[in-house]
Amino acid sequence: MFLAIPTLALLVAGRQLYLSTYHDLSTWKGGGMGMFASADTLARYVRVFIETPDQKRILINKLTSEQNDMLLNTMYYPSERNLNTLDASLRHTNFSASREPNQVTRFDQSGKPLGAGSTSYIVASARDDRPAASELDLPIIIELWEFSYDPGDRLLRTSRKRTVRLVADDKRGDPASSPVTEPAPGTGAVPKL
Amino acid sequence: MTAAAYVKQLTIDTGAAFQRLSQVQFIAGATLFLLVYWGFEDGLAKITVQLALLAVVLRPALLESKLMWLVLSVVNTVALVDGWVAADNHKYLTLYWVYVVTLAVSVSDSKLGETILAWHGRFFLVFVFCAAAVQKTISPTYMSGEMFEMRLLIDERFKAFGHLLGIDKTVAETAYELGARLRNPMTEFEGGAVALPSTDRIRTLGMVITWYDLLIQYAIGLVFIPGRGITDRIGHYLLLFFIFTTYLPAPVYGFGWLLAIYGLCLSWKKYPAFNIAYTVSFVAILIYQLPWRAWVLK
Repeated sequence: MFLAIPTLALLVAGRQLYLSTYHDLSTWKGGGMGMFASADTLARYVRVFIETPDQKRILINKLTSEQNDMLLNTMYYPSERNLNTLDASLRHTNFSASREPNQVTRFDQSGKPLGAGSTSYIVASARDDRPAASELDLPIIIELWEFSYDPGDRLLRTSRKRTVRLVADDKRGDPASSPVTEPAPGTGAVPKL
Repeated sequence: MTAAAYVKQLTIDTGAAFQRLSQVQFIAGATLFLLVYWGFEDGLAKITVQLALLAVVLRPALLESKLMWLVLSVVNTVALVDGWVAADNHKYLTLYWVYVVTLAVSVSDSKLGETILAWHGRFFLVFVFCAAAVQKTISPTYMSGEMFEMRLLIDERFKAFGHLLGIDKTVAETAYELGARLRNPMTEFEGGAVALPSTDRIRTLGMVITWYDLLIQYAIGLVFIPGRGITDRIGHYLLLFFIFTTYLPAPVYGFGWLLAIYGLCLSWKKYPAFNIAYTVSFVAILIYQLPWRAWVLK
């Protein structure tokens, strides 16, 4: 009787430690008492894009509130299930998009603007007034980013930890468009929500 | 009567009142309070907790109802399982504590109920603090001081606290703005990095908080293990110090409330003075919710 609840707590903490070590679950989450052990909740963020047939990217900079929760789940625990849940929701969403691409601005490390950057994006916002009439069949790109801070040089750095390319269900058999996870540098979209 | 005499009498009266109270009932009440104010936001769990509160207001004896606590256990379990990825650690602890109260009200012998509360209170104090300290020890970003320095600079919730510690609020505002700009997808930074306006003072403060937090957590976790009078007394002093100092900057009030419940379960029959101190800590946690951050930053 006295050991049941402590045993449960220890098992959950052990599972958290395993998932955190091997599957990138945030140390803050999962019942392992790792709050304030890392900057995860402050440092992680996610960017989401739609890939056009000519390999360009549409930045999704606004999600519905339900999708924001899914995005947070993906940020804290980027499991296949959480990624697919977000992907499935996005495929049934109506988007409104800018007509012209928006140019990225380039800055130096002191935060001074240097001019136009190398990339531009069409920016799209999810609309929650009605679902999409048909399923989006373009690939969705989800990028997982993370800050790190070096107290020595006082530089706050950002780096892309993982990129996941998700294709529509009816295209999964096509080898050219199978789901891909790749680590790579670059810039993407969607501020932390 | 002088103020000092009044406080002394109040302390004696409150201590005596604790001896007359049912421990199981008091802890059940404090736990229900926790669920009402800082429990799960999930619709079913929230409504069930509110109904339980209404039932207890109408009939206080229901605080020790097995059925009520069983229902609370079930709906809160469903809420946690459903949202486990985003749930904070203290939500897990809250659920475990609902199980403990359910167990304590389910036994017919009230002494056994009190033993169940005290035993689990001790376990969770050791578990929470030792597990938290070990997680910090094995985390390179914690031990380097990076975590707290970064929080002092770009975490909005720490801005007022940092200002109280002497960090100019414009420094934190600038750092926050630079961090947000770096995160913005419509920007590109040379080398993917931005220089934060940190100072040696902020670095030192970050390291002091890092080591204070680590050492006090190890101390509290370890000192409650032996279960001896002297170590428990030291543990209560440390735990109270931790509650009073931590939940001012860290707005995790439900966590602080739960720690005070654990402490109270251990001190109940043995240390009347600590009972009063934990009750005061409940009040302090409520007061800490005042919008003092906005006042400090004005």
